[in-house]
Amino acid sequence: MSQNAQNLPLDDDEHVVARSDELTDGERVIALLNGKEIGVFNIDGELYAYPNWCAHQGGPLCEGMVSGTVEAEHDRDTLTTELEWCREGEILSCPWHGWEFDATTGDCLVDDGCKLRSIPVRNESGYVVVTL
Amino acid sequence: MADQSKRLAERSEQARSNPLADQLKEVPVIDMDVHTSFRNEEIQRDLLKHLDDPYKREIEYYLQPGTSSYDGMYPTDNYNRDLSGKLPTELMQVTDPKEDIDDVLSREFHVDYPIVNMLPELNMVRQTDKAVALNEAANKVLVERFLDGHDNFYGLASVVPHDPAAAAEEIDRFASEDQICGVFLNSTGTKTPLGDEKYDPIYRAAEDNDLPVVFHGAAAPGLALDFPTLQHELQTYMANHALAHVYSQFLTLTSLFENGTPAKFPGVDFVFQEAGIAWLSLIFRLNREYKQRRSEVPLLEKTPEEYVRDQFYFATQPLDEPNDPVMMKQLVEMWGGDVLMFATDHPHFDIDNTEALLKYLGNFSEEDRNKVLYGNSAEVFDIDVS
Ligand code: FES
Repeated sequence: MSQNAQNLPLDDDEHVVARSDELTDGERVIALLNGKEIGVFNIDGELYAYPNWCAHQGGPLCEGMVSGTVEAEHDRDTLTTELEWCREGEILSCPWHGWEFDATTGDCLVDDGCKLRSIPVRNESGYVVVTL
Repeated sequence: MADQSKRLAERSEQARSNPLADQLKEVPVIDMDVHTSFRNEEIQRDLLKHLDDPYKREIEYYLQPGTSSYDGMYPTDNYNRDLSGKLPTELMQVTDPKEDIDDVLSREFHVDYPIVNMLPELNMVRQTDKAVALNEAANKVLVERFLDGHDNFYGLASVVPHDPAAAAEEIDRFASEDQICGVFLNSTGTKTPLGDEKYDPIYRAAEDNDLPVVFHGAAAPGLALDFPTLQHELQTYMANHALAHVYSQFLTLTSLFENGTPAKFPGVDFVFQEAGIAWLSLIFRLNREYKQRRSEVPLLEKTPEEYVRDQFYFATQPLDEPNDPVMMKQLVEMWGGDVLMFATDHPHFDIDNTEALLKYLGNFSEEDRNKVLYGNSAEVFDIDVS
């Protein structure tokens, strides 16, 4: 058990990064834990945490814009292409080179081999707790 | 006008017998870029059979000596292409399939299956109706003069970009010819880059008929339109010719990815001729751009390089010439059996000898070597070499 300001019973590898009412839907925090920057996101009420370290060239991924992306469908009979804006609030784009990640799974949209490492995160007694 | 009776694609007996030539004796070779001498009088006379007035009449007068004070039938540029004769543009006139193609290519370059294109270079013909009519006539001459009765010959039916719907109809018509094995487009002078969706009827027709689409790079008329600075501000044909093929293929390949063409038509194979292979570094740059800006090209489901290794092919000709031949080996090994196809470019001054390519394939497995010499072409153009 570690001592923490909130007097929660936490293991040594567990860390409070915010009050739950600070990290509301659509918000994020970036916390420095044991010298590691961790980005924690609230997307539609679910919590997700990833290292703030892009698998491409090490850019500050978790500080990138969270938005949506474009998908397209081509109709071979009419030879028209329909574009759709989709997944609003779920797509994290790295500010260095724009690689898109699905912030709900860690999947990289442009490189299958480059999934983000998900870090366990939960709400406990009104706090957001990350397990390193 | 160069002496049209010379046959400079032929070499000496001493040059012909060498160890590399021996290695090629047992291997079938497909040459996927063989040209005809389109403006030769014999071929122009053939066209007449398939044309109506006024274009028929125009060619009749074009062929009549002393009639016209200048050559207005086909667009040209004004470079000293042949260095006043030092470097003949055409090593010989190609009008006869046996004598000018089969005999020469089999003897000099070990070619068993030539894939012939007419190279009509009509992209810059102004009137759409005229360009379409001349192109259709050229395809008919290809079949009648070069393919009929020559079972080891195959042909690429050309289309012009002026009217994509007409081009699609032309593809439907020619696909029924047994020896037509692909669709041919000149990448130069297309006005709109060739991946643009306005050309989608061409790709759909190719896919419907199970034919690959072949893009021929060229320092052809129309370069002034696509790359005006290149044509008007560079001083020499050395510079023009160095950049023309590569620029037009750069633009074509990029345009295909920008518009998601290989994703729209997954059954189409895309084949690039006559720009060598060193320019394929563009594919790595396209990878990077795709990853940075995927949402701009949402039809793409994987990296450009993955599409290339599945659906794209590149002629080795003209072989690039790093000073250190080891670097050329590395280049062919990068793409190897996945995408490369041998071609000569007979009878033009860019011609490549099969033996010259073979020198760089020393580290290839026999299987990969054979893919480059004939296997990839056999598969893409559906040629039975057994
Ligand atoms: S470092 Fe993140 S996209 Fe390059």
